[in-house]
Amino acid sequence: MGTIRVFLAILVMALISGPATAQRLVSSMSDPEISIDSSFAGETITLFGTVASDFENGDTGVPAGSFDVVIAIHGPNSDRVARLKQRTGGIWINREAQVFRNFPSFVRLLSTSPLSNITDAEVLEAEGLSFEAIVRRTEPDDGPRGALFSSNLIRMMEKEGLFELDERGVTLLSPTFYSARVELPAFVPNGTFLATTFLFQNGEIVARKAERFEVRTAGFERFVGEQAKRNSLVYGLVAVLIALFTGWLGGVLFRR
Amino acid sequence: MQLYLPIAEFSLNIFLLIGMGGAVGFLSGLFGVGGGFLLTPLLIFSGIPAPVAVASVTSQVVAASTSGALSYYRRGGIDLKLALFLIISGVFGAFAGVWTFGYLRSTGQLELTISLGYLVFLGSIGSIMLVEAGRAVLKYRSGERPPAHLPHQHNWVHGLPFRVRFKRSGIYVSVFPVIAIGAGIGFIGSLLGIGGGFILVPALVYLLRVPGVMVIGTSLLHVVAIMAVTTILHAVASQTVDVLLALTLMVGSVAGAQFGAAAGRKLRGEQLRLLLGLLVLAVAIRFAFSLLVAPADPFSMAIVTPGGAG
Repeated sequence: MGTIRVFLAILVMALISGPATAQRLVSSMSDPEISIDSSFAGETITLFGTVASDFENGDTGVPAGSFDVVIAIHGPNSDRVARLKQRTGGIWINREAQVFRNFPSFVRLLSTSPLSNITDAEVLEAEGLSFEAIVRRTEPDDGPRGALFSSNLIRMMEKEGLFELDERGVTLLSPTFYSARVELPAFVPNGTFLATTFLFQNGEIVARKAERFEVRTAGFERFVGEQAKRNSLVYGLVAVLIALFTGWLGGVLFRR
Repeated sequence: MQLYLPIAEFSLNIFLLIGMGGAVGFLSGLFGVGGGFLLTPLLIFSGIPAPVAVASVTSQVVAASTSGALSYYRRGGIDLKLALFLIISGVFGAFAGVWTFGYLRSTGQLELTISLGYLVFLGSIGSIMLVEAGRAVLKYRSGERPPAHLPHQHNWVHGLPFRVRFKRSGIYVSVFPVIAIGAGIGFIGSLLGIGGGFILVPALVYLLRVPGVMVIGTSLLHVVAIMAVTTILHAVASQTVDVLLALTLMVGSVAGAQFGAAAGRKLRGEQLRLLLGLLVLAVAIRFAFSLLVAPADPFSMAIVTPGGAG
């Protein structure tokens, strides 16, 4: 969607950017609102931006060194529970469980090069730039069982495609201009997403910028989803009427 | 062509959905059952969350049973008084079932209960059917004809107090077994996403001695009413009824049922019961497998939503 528009925006930004001292990030994205309709099978969004010199702070606009860009995309938070099955009396039953509060339903970490080459572990931990760091923020206790549950939760989120790390996901088209393509799968959760772009230079964060975008069902799907939540009694009655009508119609059509 | 299901928040191929509905509809037409006990597991095994599968199949069962119930009603094949007694008690059972459903979902034991429930009910009913139909088939081979009517003998059920006369069925029986059967089927049906016709019919025949001409129609009316109430209860309590999912399944199953019914006329009753017994038992064994064999991944995860459901 809007490939030409994105291309033009990229072109304009590339022209106006020029050399800079990396004090400011100018960024944008292809689709601030992604709508899910009946044929939704995922969508690719493009995030792009440029490093602009901060003239107001007296910078002279001389480029210094090379930059690395890391983009963290977080989907809407919800409480998530991880459960462990154990054999009890011959059958497999969910026995232990751990709840993770305000856990992001969707995470994408993208960078220009491997995160461990960009900065040290403390910075990654403090900024939540690893799955472990993200889980640690939501974990109620830190015992050995907690570690077992968090590592398995990360494994499941990665297996379901809800967590993904792409250490070559951000491309530098010029020393100061980056772009990243993010594929949102068909099962992307609905809600508000936060995309935070970090600009690194010599292992330090020199600029950051956060942007919101929405993923929401549109048209008929949205109407159905909203009615199910808001007017659940009417929704249930309508579901029954549809069923009765379909059954009756089938009987009439096939003359049973 | 992918179809986005707004409640399941999940895309599935629309032809796969209609195909599943059609295949189950064929079998339900063939055997004269609602088919919920096949459709719910099929959906769960194809990735639809168990709560959405159970609640959506509930409304599909309404559609699958409506045309049958109507045609029995026109032919006078429904004991309305008996159906009313069963339905009123069934509604209480459905309330209890939906409440239990929400409670189990919040404690993470819903999948286990559904698996165990299917194993116990399908396993026992399937075995009984298989034995009974196997005997009938053997008798037929040896040239013996089964009696046209059940012997008019009384069992322990007929010794209970508070008897009520159901004129259409020609039975005079205590209300307690009627209430227990109605509530029990309502509870099991709402919890497991099945109409329960294949449990209700033998219960009416063997426990209450309801005659054959009344039993199918009365049972179908009970299934329509209880599944309709359960659909509304699920929609209000857990908001897991996906109308788009239900509608695609309905279209497939209503059409498939017609072909199944035509095929069913080519087979004898005991042969059909033997095949149905095998099918029911196969589903039960599939669930036994998932309970007894070590899971590929002992860990699982779920989103905890407010209001106890998750």
